[in-house]
Amino acid sequence: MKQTIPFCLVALVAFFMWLLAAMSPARLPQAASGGDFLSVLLGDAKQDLSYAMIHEADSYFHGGIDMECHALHGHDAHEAHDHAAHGHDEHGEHGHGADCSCGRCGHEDEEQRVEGFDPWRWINSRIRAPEVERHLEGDKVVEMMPWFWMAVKSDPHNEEAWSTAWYTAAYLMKDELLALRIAEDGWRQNPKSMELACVLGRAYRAKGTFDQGKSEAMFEEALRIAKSKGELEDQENAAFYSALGYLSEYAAKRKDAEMLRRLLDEARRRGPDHPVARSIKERLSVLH
Amino acid sequence: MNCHFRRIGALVRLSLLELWRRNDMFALLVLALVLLVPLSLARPFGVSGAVRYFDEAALLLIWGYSLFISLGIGGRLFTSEFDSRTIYPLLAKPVSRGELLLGKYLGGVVASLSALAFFYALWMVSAALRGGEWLSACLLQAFVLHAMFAAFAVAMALCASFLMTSSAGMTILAVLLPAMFFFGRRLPEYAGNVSGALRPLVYAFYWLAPHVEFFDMRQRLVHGWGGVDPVVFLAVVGYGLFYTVAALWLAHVIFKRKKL
Repeated sequence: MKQTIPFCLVALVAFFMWLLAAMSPARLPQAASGGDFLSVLLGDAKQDLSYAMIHEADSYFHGGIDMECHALHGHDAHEAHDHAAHGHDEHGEHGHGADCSCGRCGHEDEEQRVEGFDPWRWINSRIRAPEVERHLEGDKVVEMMPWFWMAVKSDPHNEEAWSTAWYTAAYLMKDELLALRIAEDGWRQNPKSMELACVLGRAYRAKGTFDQGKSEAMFEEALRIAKSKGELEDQENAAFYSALGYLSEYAAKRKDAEMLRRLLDEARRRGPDHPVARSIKERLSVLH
Repeated sequence: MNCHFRRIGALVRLSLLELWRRNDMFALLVLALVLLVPLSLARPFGVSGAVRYFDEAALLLIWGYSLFISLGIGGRLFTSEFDSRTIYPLLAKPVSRGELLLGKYLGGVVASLSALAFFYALWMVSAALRGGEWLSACLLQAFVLHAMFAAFAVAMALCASFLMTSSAGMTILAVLLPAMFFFGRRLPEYAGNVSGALRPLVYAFYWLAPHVEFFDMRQRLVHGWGGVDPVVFLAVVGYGLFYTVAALWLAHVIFKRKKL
């Protein structure tokens, strides 16, 4: 009798999973954002899971250090990691504050002197932090990819996961084909994302995968999405000006003054004094 | 003295046999294979060469298993003797209660460490097969600290089995130890975010609760940081020994006063 219990339990779990898979999302009490098994099972939690995976990838980049502690202590954890504009510092330098006391960074001595000695924190900071700051570089950058993969599998609509994975492949791994594949997959999953349209446009600009026609088409698509949206969020705004900048570069190369004027109008409509608007104006004045 | 060691040795052998006769170890091994083999074959975005995520998952599993085994062994050391009433013939032999407690505890620790060594050996084989570093000073330190944790967990479970029912004790420890493992170092931050009477309570908990996260050197192993400073290493071993001895002493006091 006892030996049959595990088999019965396995059968019960299998039946339950089949039932979940067979059930249409619309019939569930809460509407899941996708029809896949993970969406049905986790609902919105899969977005948090996805961000947790990106967070883990970030900690891998910093050699295993959890950068969240800097945010907890009022630091800008990503001051050198501007994901929206992809202005990552290629040397991997970041703001390791000397006053962080989370016990994970090992730079809390200054604060300890002020607050008084905490032996537990002292031990933790020495066990859970490297003596030397290090970042993934060269072949080792590939270690971040499983986390990005899990992030986009958990939530295929996490634009930050796609764009950071693309950035890592393109600029840290210097694998342009992989970067293009990631950008295309991301765009396929999110055809209304300005940021990913821009990412794909940039992927087509790479030396090994250069295709000006496709690149321009993607930047135009980004502008089209921006028009349909009206008000833009910070990341979308960055993507918008990035698309304008690249398109103006292509137009200037072709000496297409009409296109530059159109782009200038677009730029002025959102921010007359934006540096991108000024640069388009300069390009236009060079043509005249 | 010789006779004293022989008696304790016999009890150690018994505990070791008990662990390996049970099917727990093999069930855990099969579970590890089911989880890790697909993980090792995964090629995220069609890229190969990433190993750290696998090492991290494998080491986390080893931590989970060692907790499960240590608590199980510690909680069962005396409960099974009381339940089956075999404690009476045991105490009828020329063995003092202190010897019995120490012998059974050492047996539990040896059994727990044998399981830990087995899992670490498997991890080393997997690292060697993947062409990575399979033996280092950092690994030895990590193993010693993990062993210290196992010894401490067995002592805590043994002590808890005298204070309350074995299952209640194991349940409490199964919540407390992982909670400290993951969140122990952040308790001062949580204390800063609560107000009123709760704040000194959280601080008191921070100072008194066992910081099992000290024994965790996974990050150093996975990311190749190298070994920890010997002074810190000895401090953590001393910390573990203090809690272990305290738990055993408490268990001894309760067992000595227990009316059978």
